[in-house]
Amino acid sequence: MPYIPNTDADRSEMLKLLGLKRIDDIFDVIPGHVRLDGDLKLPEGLPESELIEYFDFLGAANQIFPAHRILAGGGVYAHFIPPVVKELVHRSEMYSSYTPYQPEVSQGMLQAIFEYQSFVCMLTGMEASNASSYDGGTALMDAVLMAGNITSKPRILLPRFLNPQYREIVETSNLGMQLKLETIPADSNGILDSVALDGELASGEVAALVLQVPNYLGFYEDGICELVDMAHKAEALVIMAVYPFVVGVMRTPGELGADIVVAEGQPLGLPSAYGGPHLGCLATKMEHIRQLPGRIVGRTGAAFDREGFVMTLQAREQHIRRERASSNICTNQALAALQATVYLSIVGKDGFHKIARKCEENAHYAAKQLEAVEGLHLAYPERAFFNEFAVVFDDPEKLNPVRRMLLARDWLPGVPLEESFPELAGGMLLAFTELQNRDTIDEFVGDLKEALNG
Amino acid sequence: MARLIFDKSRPGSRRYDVADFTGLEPESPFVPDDIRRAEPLPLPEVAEVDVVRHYVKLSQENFGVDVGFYPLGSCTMKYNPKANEEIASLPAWAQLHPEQPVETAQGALALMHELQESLAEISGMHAVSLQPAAGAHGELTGMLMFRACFNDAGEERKVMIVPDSSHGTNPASAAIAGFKVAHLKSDERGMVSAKALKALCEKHGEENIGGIMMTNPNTLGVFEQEVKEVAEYLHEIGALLYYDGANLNASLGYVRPGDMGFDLVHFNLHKTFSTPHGGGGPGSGPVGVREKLMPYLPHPLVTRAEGGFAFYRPEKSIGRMKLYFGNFLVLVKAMVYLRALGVEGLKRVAENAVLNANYIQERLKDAYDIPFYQRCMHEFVLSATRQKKLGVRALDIAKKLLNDGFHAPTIYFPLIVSEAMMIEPTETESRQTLDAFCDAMLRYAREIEEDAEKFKELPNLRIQHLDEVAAARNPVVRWAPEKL
Ligand SMILES: Cc1ncc(COP(=O)(O)O)c(C=O)c1O
Repeated sequence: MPYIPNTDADRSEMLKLLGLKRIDDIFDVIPGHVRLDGDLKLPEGLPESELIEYFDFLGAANQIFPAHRILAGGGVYAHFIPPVVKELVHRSEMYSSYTPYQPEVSQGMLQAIFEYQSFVCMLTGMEASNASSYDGGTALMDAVLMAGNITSKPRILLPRFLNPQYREIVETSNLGMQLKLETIPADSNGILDSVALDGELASGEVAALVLQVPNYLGFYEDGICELVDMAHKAEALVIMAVYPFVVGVMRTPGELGADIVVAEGQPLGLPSAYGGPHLGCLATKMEHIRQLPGRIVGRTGAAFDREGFVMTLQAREQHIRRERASSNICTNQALAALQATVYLSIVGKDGFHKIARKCEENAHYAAKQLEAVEGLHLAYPERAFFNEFAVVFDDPEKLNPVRRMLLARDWLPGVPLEESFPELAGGMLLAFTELQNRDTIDEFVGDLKEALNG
Repeated sequence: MARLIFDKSRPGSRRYDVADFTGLEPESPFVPDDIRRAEPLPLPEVAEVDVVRHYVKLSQENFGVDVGFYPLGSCTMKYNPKANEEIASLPAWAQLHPEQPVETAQGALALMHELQESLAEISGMHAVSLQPAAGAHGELTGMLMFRACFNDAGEERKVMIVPDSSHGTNPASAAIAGFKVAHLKSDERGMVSAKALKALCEKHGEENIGGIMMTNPNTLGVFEQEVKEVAEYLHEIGALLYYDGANLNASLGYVRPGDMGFDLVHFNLHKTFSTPHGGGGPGSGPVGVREKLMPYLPHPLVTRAEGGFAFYRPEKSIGRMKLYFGNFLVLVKAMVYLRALGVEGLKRVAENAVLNANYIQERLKDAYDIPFYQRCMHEFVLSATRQKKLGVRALDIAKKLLNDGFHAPTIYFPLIVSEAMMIEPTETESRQTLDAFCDAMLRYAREIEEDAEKFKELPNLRIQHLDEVAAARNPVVRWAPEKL
């Protein structure tokens, strides 16, 4: 039997010690009327050789696109992952361990998480990070919950072009929290309506203004610093959701005035993996650390008799506080946090900056080529963007056939937008990373033109 | 001082190659002036070989199942099969982009569909959502579904009952979903009694009771004898039953939450189904439901469609709990495990998990107090009260185990047992390993009687006496460069 080392002889001696004859006697304490009659309707087990064959067969029904031909983003980006990252994350002393409750034998993971927290603080410009949330979306829900608790105010303002799945996650969890979620609309140039924002803020009931940078459509909200000021004047917190690489070229959210920062950490060395496991980064200022959900690793300084790392401020957590805890999170995404830590160490100062710059350059080169294509236009040509932007086909009916032709040529085109943003019928997002170059972009634009005219 | 990766930075020691970078201006011409960064972010600069050595060294300072016996109760630290890891890291799964059209991801949908169906069969439920990222996330999902179901019926039902032996995530999840938590005292057997439950419900008003969150076997490792009566009573008063699947390992193929009367169950794939715990995560906490709750499941679910599989949204779905479809690669690993074991293998898991736990309990029962001594399931809880009188606490025994190359059991949980040590060996340990552990524990009991102070010496532990109190009073939670 796979993975079970007891022999028949072991089993019979062990049963003897318990005064039992047969192995199923051990389930005598289960009342007969709830016991399963017969066997589960599941297949027989497979030997490893056949196991691998079976999953190869299943996997063959997935189409895998070459990384540089993936132009889908929407929160998950095809960056290059240096092989050393996978190698280190596969150290089984790390992946086969539990949450580091016992610091004496967990210094490795604890230190790695401390380093992770330090990296997240650098990227976000914050002072305290948790050891991870599940993903960018649930991290936003954590941040919203935090803002409600910190301010004791009921309203949360969401921007028009927030990642629709983030919005949905916040709305779903809010079934229990009962905060009032309001959307700040945008005008036809994509600029958030500051009159509406002012009106909301004037209520004095706003716990937080959420901003996504860049927003779901890839562009920087107009006048971020002014928006932040407006919120702060009304004593509302500012939550920023960021794409980590944007900080390669933009000041940190902390420098822009954010109070709580969340990020989807997938671009930091995690494969797209059909959407998970990814990584929720969540950080804030020191003054709010006691409202921060999740595990936090602290360093016991050199002043103490032994120096090391421990899980700290556990009095916030469910295993101590139960129904009064700051959150219910227990298992998080620690290994993904380790992966991001290794990745950031490997790309380092030079790589992080170069990758961010190359993403921008590729996207802007592509936008320029696409602007010249007859039959489509950029959705918000006046907005400054990072590595992703929306294009709209003049004839919305063209979108699906063009996407099909691109797929047939092994391009993974970006996310269609109409379902979430009806005003963008015939629109799709296109994302670029450091993996393209001018030739691939020219080839893509050529293929798109053909598809559009064909 | 432990040397952090940041301490190893040497300017210029790491140049990272990005193709076609020559000729690019260092400063961005695209970012608006008021938010543009002036200098690159001060990340460390460490040569690749030094990064490798740094993290290999850290891994050597970490204890995992692959290092030694890990009887951490409630956590089901079983062996993580390497076939799971290898298959899940193949490009067919790891390189799949979640925004691909479903026609190009049929393998993934087929796998998720098979897992949904398998988990439904194992738990006796009708439908399963794979979306929640961990057990606690499954709990929150379940609680929100209860809430939605009551809202639909125009009922308030504000009170959620949890036994006093329950895991902390249970009351925490209920509270986030807007329930008021009422704790139910366990009876002298360490169980939920239908009589005590009824009294508690009457006290709060039966019409206010939303339901109960239970795990069975419970956190004492004891099978709840009155589970059927509890279910019948709660259903009679219009309440719902939540099953915390953290302890499902004991039941595989022998008893199903659905047959016990539960309406909703969460699974911990990172416990029962052998996916690694990752030093804290990622996990996966799918939820399974009976018919009544099916319309409320989070979307998207996978269903059979013409010529393949498709996603769908149940009519009254609570919405979405997580980005995309859950921790997908964890789902892949769990499915590999299920296929490797098959119907017979799953039963062997439960049998050996329960046998191993009972074997340890039997060997230790005279040397330590076992407050609810009876046939246990996959784990049991002993108490170091006898040792405490001699000056040695559960924490000291735990550290002694660490000193001797074992991982310690869960301590001080469940809260209803003083000096608790919760021991869960799992089925992937051999009798030889169990014996080595029991021999050590029996030796400790003798040593404590002989000389309690000497017992507390831990010659093999490099790290000990970390001042957790001081660390919490004055938290240092990051390294920062001198000038940011
Ligand atoms: C009994 C019980 N319930 C719930 C949980 C929470 O599960 P997770 O850590 O996956 O969120 C645990 C995990 O330790 C548990 O032991």
